[in-house]
Amino acid sequence: MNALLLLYERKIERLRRLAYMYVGYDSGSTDVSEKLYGVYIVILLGLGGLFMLAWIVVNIGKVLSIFTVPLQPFSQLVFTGMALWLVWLVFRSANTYDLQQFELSDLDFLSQSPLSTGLITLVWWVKSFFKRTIGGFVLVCAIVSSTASYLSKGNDILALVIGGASATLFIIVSGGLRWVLGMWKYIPVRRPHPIFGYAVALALLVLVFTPYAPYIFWPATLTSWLLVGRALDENATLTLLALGGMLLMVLAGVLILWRQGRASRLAPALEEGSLGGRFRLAAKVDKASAGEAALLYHLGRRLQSGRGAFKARQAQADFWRGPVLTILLRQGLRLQRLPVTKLLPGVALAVGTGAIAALGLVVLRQLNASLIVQIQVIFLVNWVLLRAGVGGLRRELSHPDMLVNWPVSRLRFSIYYLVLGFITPLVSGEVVLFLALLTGLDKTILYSWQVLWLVLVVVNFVVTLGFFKRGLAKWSGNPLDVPNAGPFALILCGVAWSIAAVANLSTGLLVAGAFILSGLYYVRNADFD
Amino acid sequence: MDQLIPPPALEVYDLTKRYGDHAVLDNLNLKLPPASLVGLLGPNGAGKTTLLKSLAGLVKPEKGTIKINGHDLSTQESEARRYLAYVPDVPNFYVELTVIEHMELLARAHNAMTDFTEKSERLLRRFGLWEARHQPSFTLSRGMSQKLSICCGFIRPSKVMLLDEPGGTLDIRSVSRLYEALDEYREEGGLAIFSSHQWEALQDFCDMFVLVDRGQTLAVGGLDFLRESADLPPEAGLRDIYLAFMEDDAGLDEPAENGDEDTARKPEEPPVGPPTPPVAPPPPRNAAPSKSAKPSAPNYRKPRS
Repeated sequence: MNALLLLYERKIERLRRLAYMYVGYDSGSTDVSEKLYGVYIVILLGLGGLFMLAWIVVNIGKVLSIFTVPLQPFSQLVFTGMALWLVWLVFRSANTYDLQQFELSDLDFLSQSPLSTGLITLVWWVKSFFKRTIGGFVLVCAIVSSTASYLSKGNDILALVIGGASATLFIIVSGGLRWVLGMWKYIPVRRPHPIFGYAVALALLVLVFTPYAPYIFWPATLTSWLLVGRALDENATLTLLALGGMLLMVLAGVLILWRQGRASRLAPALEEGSLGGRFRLAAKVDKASAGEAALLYHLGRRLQSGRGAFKARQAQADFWRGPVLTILLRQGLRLQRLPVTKLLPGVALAVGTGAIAALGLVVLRQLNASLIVQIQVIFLVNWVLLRAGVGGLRRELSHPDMLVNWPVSRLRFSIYYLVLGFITPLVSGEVVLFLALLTGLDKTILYSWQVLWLVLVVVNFVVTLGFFKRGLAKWSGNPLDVPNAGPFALILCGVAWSIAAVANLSTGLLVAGAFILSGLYYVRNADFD
Repeated sequence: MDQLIPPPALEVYDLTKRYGDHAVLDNLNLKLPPASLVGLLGPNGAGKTTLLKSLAGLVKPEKGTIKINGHDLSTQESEARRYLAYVPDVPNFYVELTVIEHMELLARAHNAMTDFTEKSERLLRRFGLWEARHQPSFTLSRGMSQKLSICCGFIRPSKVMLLDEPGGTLDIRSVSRLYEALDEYREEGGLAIFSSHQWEALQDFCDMFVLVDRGQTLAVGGLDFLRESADLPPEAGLRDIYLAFMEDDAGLDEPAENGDEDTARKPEEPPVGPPTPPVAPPPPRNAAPSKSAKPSAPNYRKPRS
């Protein structure tokens, strides 16, 4: 037990230090003003968080009320999504790799600790839930539940709590399912070929769309009812029964996982964990490099299984010469070797960002959505656009020695990669706006947005370039500390977009033009010495 | 007469780089001619890696000018980079590309594909990477990664090559091959600057040495010049010269008893006692190894007189 506490204490301590670092709180200081600052931070974050949550719920409710979303089909949609998620987990567990995601220091510790495999399994299973994505999912579910209740004039605060709780229970149940199936390979018994797992996943996929689906995917049934269906019929007994059912499944999951953990061999799990840990460490820790770690997994596994992604490649034509064309060739080679599971979401993000954002902004304008809604959507769009735009550049900068040997300046290097990052959303947005002319949307709005979309994406490009020029000037050349376009870039872009979106076309062009010109002036003349 | 003197391949004026209050490079000045091999020496933390990173344009200095083959790295960065090759101490390659693809990309970027096939094969064979040319970079060992980094440095045209501890993870034969390659690079008119702690190899091989400490150049010159500057006898080797220049820093690496680093770096009283005598005379530069004796060091090529 002491070993367990020691292990967790280290992690909690790290989190605590990180939190203090973010808010600038000195825990070692005995100064009264510093302690008061700590109280102030807690109150600010707590009250601020509650206020933001309430604000989000009210605004999302308002947006949904514009579209008059019927709750019954929406509940069905939520159920289908969750059932598909369960199917995906079955599929993933057939080729689960490095399930525990041990850090190398964890492995050093575990190899000498007296902990049993059952305990290690359970502890790491619990640890696997502490991720930002899962926190985000629970938050979104709580907001959806509360919004549904708000729309049906129910108790939206209670719905917020029930939504959060049911989403948490669903995540625990689905996580348990994945771990129970994934841990199978560490048990010294003969297990079916992975192809059997894929076949089961395929069969389950078909079953999602049959009338039996609510009985087969009952965790999804209960959760979707708690999230949305409950808003239509606020039955307390049914709510308690559904929550109790989910709790029972959690307990069953814990028991099964405990038994499975006890029967597991730790050595192969640690071996895979060590491999994964080394890969993650080698590929560094920030987001840009997390993608590299995933790619490393994929390539390493292909190589081990003898599937040749690295056969002698015929030299490309002499056409691909010079910095620009070589960058394109490099990206082509990269795309060829990306796993499908990484390539498709990447392409979908790049294409979908532009298409959905451009069309969404036009629709909001046509529906005369309130200013506050438009601005929120604009900031969301810009956040996604900036992420899509800078991803490639940040990934390349994490190879500084290659950057140095490239025969172009860092500014020009940034320009090339930012163009690559922004071109896809720009084009996909324009194409969708062009295709939308064939629909019943207001053509005047569409024409103005065809122009605005172009200049506003250029605004993002110029603003990002300015931030990268500044970041690169102060960069230590450390691949762990690659510059980024931070919140200020998002605010600048968001302001430009907001003014352009709510004003008429000429004002929008004027504002965008001013941003572009001042941005270019800054990029050209700013000196950070 | 001035026209006969070649312009410097590398010029550094008043280079200053600070991390917080600590000046890693402090008004450093340097001028190095083309067609030479230069050893960069200094104690740990002297600023060697920061100097190389600044010269490579990876770290932007607070002050100062760097010129690569006459092109200002700050205002004419693209032009300067065409002439600049960099071999880092810890290479960081693209995980999805093979050994040969890394070299090919750099050659393509520099429009140097004319003789790529022959040149890449020669380099890969020289450094023992030919068999691994289609392997992805992440399967390479540390030493092999270092070799690939060196190959990438040589595959593209350059006038100045910066190498940060290039031989640190190489086997003896590869170190020898590296010096052969550097010698050819020098004959083609290139300037190679490399930091290393392999004293014997540096002494045998380099034309010039740059001694840095606390972010400043203590001395720049050939072995004889440095020996004279340090008032050392003719038989004194590079190690003795180094110790003579660094003796003022006695206690630099020793921790302060009160934990105050500044106190440790600035002893109040000068060190007492005679200067450190030469430990052992270095072997004569042109001495041929005994045929019966087993060679204990690689057969480095000698520098041009």
